[in-house]
Amino acid sequence: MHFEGTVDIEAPRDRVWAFLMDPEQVGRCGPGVESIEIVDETHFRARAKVGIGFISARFLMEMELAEQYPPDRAVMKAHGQAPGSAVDASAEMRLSDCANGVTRMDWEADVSIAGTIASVGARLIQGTANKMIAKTFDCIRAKLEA
Amino acid sequence: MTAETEADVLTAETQVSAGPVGQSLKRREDPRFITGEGNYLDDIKLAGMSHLAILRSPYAHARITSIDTSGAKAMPGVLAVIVGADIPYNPLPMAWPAGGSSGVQNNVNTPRVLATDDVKWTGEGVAAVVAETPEQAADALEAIQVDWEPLPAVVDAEKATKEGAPQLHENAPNNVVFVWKVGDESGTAAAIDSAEVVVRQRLVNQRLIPNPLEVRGDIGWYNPGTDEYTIWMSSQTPHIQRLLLGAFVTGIPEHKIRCISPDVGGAFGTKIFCYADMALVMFASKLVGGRPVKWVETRRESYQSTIHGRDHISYLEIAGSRDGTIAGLRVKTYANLGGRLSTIGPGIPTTLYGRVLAGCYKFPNVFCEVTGVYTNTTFVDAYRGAGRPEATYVVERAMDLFADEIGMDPAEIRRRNFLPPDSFPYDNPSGLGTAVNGEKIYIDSGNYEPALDKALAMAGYADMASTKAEARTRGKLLGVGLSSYIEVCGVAPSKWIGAVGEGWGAAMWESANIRIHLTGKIILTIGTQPQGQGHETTFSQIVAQELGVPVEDVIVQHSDTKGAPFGYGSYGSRTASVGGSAAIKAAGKVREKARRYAAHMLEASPDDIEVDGATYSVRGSPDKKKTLQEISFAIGLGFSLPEGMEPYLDETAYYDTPNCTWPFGTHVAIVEIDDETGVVDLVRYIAVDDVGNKINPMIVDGQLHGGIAQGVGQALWEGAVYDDNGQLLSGTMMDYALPRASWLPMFELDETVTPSPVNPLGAKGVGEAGAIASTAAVANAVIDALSPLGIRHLDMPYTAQTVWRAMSQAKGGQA
Amino acid sequence: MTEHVSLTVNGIGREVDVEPRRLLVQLLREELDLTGTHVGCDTSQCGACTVTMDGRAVKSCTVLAVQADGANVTTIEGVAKAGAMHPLQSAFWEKHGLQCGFCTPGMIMAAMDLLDRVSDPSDEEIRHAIEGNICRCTGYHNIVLAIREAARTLRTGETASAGGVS
Repeated sequence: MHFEGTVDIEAPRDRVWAFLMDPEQVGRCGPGVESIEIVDETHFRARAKVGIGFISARFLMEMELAEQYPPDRAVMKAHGQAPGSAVDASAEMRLSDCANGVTRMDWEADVSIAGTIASVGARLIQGTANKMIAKTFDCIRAKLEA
Repeated sequence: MTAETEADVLTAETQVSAGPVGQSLKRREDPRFITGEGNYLDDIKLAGMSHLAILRSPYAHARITSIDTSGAKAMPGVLAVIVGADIPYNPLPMAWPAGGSSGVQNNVNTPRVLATDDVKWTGEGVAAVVAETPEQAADALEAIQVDWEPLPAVVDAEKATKEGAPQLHENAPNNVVFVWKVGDESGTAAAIDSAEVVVRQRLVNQRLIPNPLEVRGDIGWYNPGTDEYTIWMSSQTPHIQRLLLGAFVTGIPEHKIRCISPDVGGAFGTKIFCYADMALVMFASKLVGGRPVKWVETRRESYQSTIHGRDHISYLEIAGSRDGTIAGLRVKTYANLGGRLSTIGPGIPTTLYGRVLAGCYKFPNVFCEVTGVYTNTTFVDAYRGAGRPEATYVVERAMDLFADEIGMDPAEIRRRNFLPPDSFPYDNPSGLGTAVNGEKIYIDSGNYEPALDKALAMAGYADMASTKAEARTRGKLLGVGLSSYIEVCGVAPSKWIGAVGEGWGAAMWESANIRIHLTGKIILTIGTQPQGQGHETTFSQIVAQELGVPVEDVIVQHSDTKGAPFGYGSYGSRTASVGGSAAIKAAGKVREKARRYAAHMLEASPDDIEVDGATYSVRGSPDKKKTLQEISFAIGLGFSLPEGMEPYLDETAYYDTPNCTWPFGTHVAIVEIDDETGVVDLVRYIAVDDVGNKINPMIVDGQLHGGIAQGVGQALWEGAVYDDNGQLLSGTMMDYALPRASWLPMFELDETVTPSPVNPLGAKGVGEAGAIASTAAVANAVIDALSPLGIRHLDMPYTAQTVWRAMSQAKGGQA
Repeated sequence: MTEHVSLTVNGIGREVDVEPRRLLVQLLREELDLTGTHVGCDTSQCGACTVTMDGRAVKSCTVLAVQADGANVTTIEGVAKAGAMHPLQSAFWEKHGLQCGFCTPGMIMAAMDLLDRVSDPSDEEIRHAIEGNICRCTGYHNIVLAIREAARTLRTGETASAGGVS
């Protein structure tokens, strides 16, 4: 599944970058995230509960900041497992300056989902994912614009 | 029934001599089912029973780099956690290679009881938990940590054979299991090259999930005291499973294994096979010290761990002349067999498909090439009809496509090409007649035109133009579709199987044992295994008929390898013709011994004893007689026995059929398609079937109804859908559309009766006929309805979306 | 952690302590040994687990056991009265409305609800009423005939002319 979008945040680019590169900060914005564990500078783990339709699963996500070009571009890879399900994702974001102190983030992500969540929630995944992404960015924006 | 006035004076014997065979007796199974007293696998509770759950792969293709079970072992209620490396058993057997023993290369990979190194489809089992309760077992699965290395997957059989496709198995280059050919390749090529008209079409026969309403399950019990295993299994073939589990999988001696199949809540082929879970519950029970271990799959699990059906991509070419004479049929098929092979997976798209591809037609040239293919999907094996619905779909679509091309009526082109009634026994060119060591299978009998005529008359075929015009005024496109089918069933002559190495690679005879107790009450024990077909009723009818006793005096036992003679089970529409004939043969043995004993009792020569129903009398002295009950009492006591005769009436017979049987018929489907929405409504369904003599016509009709509904389901709604990564998107009953009551009409059935010459009943088999015929009938009806728009073919299922899109494109609109 | 549930099942008062996540179907099958109520799916699609609760058909896999507190539940085992089959049971037998029998209890309970509300249902109403009950064996043909026949029996009090006896 491919997702992409653009988000405008009323905050300077350096601050946006710093926020996004801080797992503790950005991690808290993920819907259903229950805990964050920092492994090293570029690796961290997150536990998150995800519900699709009538099923829900607790995922253990291994995240890696695969590429960083501050304060322009970053690539993150994630692999997560839940009983009977797995998710693999690769996301790229690019920051640029807009007028009036607004930072623009263009992002895209490729996600593949396997197991129970895929077979049971197939019809609902796209919608659920869109909702979760929107929630995440709403949270990031709210925190940065606060 | 006999007239009432006569009935008063008739004795029981003369009433039954009119014969229970052929009567629509109510089923004796039903009282337990309609009062909730059935005993299905999940209803069984044993003392000390524990529960097993299986962790299944979320990936369609991956290497297992490590499995950590320590967390699960510490969970409440957990008795054991099992991974593949713990289990010393062999991989599951594959019992029917493509081409049998003819030398076709089969690149075989079968599942292990639990996967050890890698997984080949989403849902392959990798670990198991045994716990006190099912909930605890399921909870503990969540604590098992598996490290995976995902690999690229492929789900489409045709794409899997192409350059650059992900490779599943080292011993199967380009994912090819086998390439199997049948028929006359050069003759067919010549016929096609020189033909006046050639029609070509790519056809997809989509993957189906069979969906018996009861899922599968097993209970394994190891008895440490006797070192014996008992496995309760929801199975069509308990005797075969004992053989396969013992000799091929576990190495445990066959006589130390007992398999019991309780009431089976539908099967449709899915419960023929040897599954990993059967061996797993055996292993698990011994591991936990001999406590019984129960495993019942969930429906979601079933969709990935129980076999699927069909899944062919075919390229057909049909050639002939403008007068409607077909000169040749050539078909190239990619058959998707899944990530590893199920028990008889390769046999289904080869012998049961390619060899009957010519259907009921006299095609001088037929050639078929089938490529069996591995993909990252659940294994594919026999689902109701098993190869024959796929063959019927190809040939019946081909007939309509050819008729359309030359502007001929579909009924007329069929009539023109039918095998005439004097053709039988017929050695068909697509190969069932292929001689190996002189053993051949012929099409035994047939008379196809009367069934076609009857079906056309019932459908009002002659007036179809006005029916279509009337529908048009209501905004409906009406279509009519024909399907004239034959099927090969009543499998199968053992000597043929032995000669060509087909089938189970073993014999396919069937067994029956009759014991008559001192009171004259009769127990028939059979080797076949019901799954809803009513064997307890029909077999008691057969034995009551043969021995001249009331049906109430016969009870039918089955389903337990302890006490039942070995039998090959129920599939391939074989039970009535092969198993029923075994019962007749056993009854004949009983009758003969009873006759000899009656002679002893009546002090006459055995040659002078006449048998009329249950009465054994001396020729010329009708007053000197004994009933079967009197005979069974006396011979059972054995106080007085003639020299050399053993006491008791207890006879076992093994019946080996000399040939398969060949039901046929014509089905007509009438559909209306909404011009605006594309919704397809099956408005009428007419079926004229010739299944030979019927033991219980009510049960025969029921079998046809159910088969028709399943075939209609394929045409209109059902289809398993995988994404490109091998994730099963139609993973629940919410996403896989099974036929519902309001989607189907009443079925209009009639018959012709051409008794099979190959068995004493004259019966052919009916379990699969409906499913074999109906998919093609509905498909042809839908295409007929859409033909005014210039549409000549669409792949199934014909959901509203598919049809609407095709209509929009045909009308030149956007879709 | 359990909760106490009192309910009437097939006319008998039952007191059971159940886990809050326990479903009514599990209570019936596992605690009360009423295994005539079947489980055919895990998404409330198949209807094999249909029972009546206070007279209305419900899929017992969608009802928590605790929700049945105080309710009057009838399962297939409670349908025959004093050893005599209910007209629906007789009609399913008479008309060959079942093959493997797995959907049958749920099908009969769903039909019971219909015939309670509608004394002379059309085929369309019958098919609509059992829309939530999947039968994979019969193609529904004989089930419709059976329910039609049971409705007639219940209306007129006459049973069908006896067919064969087995």
